[in-house]
Amino acid sequence: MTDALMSVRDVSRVFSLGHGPFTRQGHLRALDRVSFDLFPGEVLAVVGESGSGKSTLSRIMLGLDRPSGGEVLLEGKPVETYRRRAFARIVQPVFQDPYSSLNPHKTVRQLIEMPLVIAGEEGKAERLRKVRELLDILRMPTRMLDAYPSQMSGGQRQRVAIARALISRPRIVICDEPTSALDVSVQAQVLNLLMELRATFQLTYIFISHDLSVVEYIADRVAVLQEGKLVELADVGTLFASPRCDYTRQLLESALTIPRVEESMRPPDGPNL
Amino acid sequence: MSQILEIEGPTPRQLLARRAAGHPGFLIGTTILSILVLVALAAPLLAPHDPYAQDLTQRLLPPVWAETGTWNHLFGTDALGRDYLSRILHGTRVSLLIGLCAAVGSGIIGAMLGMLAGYYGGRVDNVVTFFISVRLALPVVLVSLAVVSIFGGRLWIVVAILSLLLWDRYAVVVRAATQQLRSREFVTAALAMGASTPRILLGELLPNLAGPLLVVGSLEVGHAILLESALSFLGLGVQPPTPSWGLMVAESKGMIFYDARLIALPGAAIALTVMAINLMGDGLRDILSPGGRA
Repeated sequence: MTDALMSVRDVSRVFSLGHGPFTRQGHLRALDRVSFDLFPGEVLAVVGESGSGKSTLSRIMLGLDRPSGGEVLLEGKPVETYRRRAFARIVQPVFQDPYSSLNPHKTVRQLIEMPLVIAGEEGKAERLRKVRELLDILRMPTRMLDAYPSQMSGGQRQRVAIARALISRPRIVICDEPTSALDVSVQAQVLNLLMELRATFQLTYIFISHDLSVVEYIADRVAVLQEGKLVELADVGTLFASPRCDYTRQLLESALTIPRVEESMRPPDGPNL
Repeated sequence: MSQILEIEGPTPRQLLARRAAGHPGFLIGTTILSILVLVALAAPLLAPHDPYAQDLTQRLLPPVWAETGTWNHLFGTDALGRDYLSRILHGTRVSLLIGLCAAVGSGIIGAMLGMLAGYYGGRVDNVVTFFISVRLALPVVLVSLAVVSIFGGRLWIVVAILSLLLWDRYAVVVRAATQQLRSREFVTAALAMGASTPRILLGELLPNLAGPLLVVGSLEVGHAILLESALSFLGLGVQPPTPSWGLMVAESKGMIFYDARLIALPGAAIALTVMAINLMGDGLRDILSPGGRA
């Protein structure tokens, strides 16, 4: 196999809880010696329930947080050696909630061109050309350029967020639950779009999700996190066909048995008020 | 595919315009204030006489509505024979200029401190909160007294004092709003894109703070005008012969039982201006934050 694009080596992240005189000191181990490699062109899904460390992992891989232990290598070099802007040219995020990840006071054009403005290399006309080109690829009409996020639907906003991530032609896109805030019908469109773009831009995805049907559809390999530990890492076919780990099996079962979920959500019997 | 490509609804600006049009208080306040601003700008053209020209033969002439009043001096003259209408018209300039400059000056100080405190939190927040407490503990009039007695009562010194004494409300409001904003994902996204801190503060956060800043700012203009009048009344603000409303009240206070118009007219001007500004400010708050208070 080719060299890893990004390597996560023994990464731990410990949060200390409570500083004040009246709170108890404590520690939360959000990530516990997690290691894996990300290879060019693949889609690596990270799954796990809430609180399993998925988001902490994504923050560390985006360079927004430093691991307490271990290191992250990008193209063979420790991420600390990259300057922020150079790092951002290679790794870009797509966040969960497009209602929150787009600044409500900016137009689509301002939002998408922002990475270019920060890089500060192209002129205004060149930026506009790139934005138009990208909107074209995303099949969004150019009259949207001057629209504000509040005028768009969730799917449209997520497209804008994806366009913003892609405009500086990164190699890795870290998607933190990119479809979980969207309608089911729009989810499929966005997923298909992501897959298309993967070919067009030769992207590598890290796909953080708790939705296993989405993961099965999109991922090449799946990493399972449980309470900060990487409990299983396998090809998507292998993992879904014969999960080795009990926790993975539980995850798979809980996702597939809808009636049981409904049962547990029924309010408890009690006096009728 | 086609239906997801439509742009829905109005732009944020259109939405605000629509809400503004349905808010009578805001419309009344804005109308009065616009007229006052026009008066201030056109004061030299509108004023029938030179506001500084004294004529001791024409002292204390009554206004036009009194039995012996003349159309030459619509509001009569003051104890030095100066045309009162001209002085009030020119006083609009002083009041609005001081109010606006002080509100902008204190807004810059307060917004900067508030954003830093809200964005960084922790120790920076503690320091800023401490400054806010210190500022709240300073009595405005006493501090002004001290500063004016040292530096004299020129107009720009009054503006500087007010700027340095009125920033607390901005800081409190901006700090709270920034704390809310900084956890939003667009800030995280900007960080991940490699944006610098000034870019995040000024480019990402500031546009979102425009609403609360505008609301506090407009109310602070009224506050500053009232304070300027109070300081001038005490002789600590603008110095004679500048036509300031507060000063006009102070100069005429000995006449209150003989010729009440000398106090009533500038007093009414102050009240009208501050009322218009407060109506506009309250309206802005309703318009910019329909869900609750700014």
